Amino acid sequence: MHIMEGYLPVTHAIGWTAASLPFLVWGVKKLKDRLRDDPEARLLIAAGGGFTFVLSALKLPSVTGSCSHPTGIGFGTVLFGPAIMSVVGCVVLLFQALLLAHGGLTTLGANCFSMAIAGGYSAWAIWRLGGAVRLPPGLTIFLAAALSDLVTYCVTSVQLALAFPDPVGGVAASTVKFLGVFAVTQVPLAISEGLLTVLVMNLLRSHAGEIVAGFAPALKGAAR
Amino acid sequence: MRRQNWLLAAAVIALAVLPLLTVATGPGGAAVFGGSDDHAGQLVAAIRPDYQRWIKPLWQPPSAEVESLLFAVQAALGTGTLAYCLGYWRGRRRAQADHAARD
Repeated sequence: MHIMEGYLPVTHAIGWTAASLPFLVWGVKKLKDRLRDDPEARLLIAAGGGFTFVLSALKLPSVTGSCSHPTGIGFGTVLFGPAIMSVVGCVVLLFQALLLAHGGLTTLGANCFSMAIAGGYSAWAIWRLGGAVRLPPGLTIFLAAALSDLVTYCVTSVQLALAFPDPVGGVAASTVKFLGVFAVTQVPLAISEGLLTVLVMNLLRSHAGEIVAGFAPALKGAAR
Repeated sequence: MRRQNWLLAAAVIALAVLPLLTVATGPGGAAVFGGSDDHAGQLVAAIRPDYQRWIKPLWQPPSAEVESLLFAVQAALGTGTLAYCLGYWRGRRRAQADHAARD
């Protein structure tokens, strides 16, 4: 669930948009380079975008009695890196803001920052770290997807807390309140996202195997 | 691998179904399993009762039915794209294998 239209004061909306822009500009450059050097990557990026599209349409019930949806960012990030994935994530958010009144245009920068950027780069860090300490690839993919999903909603909570500090406890108390709404709901969903990401990665490995491993270096480690 | 995939799918379904069974429905089935973004909106109203949304979405789906249609379209587009890619790679790998076998 993203920050709804109009729920960030103007200064915050502009600030988060400004914070996201350099990442997106960098992502678009990486995307162009990648498609020029390696036209085969087009399908891989489409697959990553498709996964994010499905997962962010799945509003799942959670133990808190409210519903939220996974982000699907970890999958594409592992396949082709966080820079390109941040652009793909932003496109999905734009679709939802324009056609579904879910999220919003003024909150697009903030939502993009939490999901596509913080989510993507944290997934990438976990994926690389897991590889460095030689965790099994399946477990690493699970952790990257599940934790990046949680990171997204923790960042969302902080963004809202900065905009709406608690009159008594300030930003910290407000963060705890928003985490109570977003993060707790998200825990089982993050686990679901991790499991689904491993599932689709398994399918990719068994059906596409070495073909995909050729242009997704991350899969080489996983494709044993 | 195949067995692991079935277990993964079963676990995802269990995680989605369990809350429906364990979370008590409110009186008259009220306000459960709403969106967490609506809850966040209520929390904003509790912290800053004077806050006014300064902009409304440009366009809103006219009803819950139309909204569910659009979410279904989104899921279908995503699944379709992913399935196309998987099928394409699978077919190409098979074609390569056949080609290698004939040589």
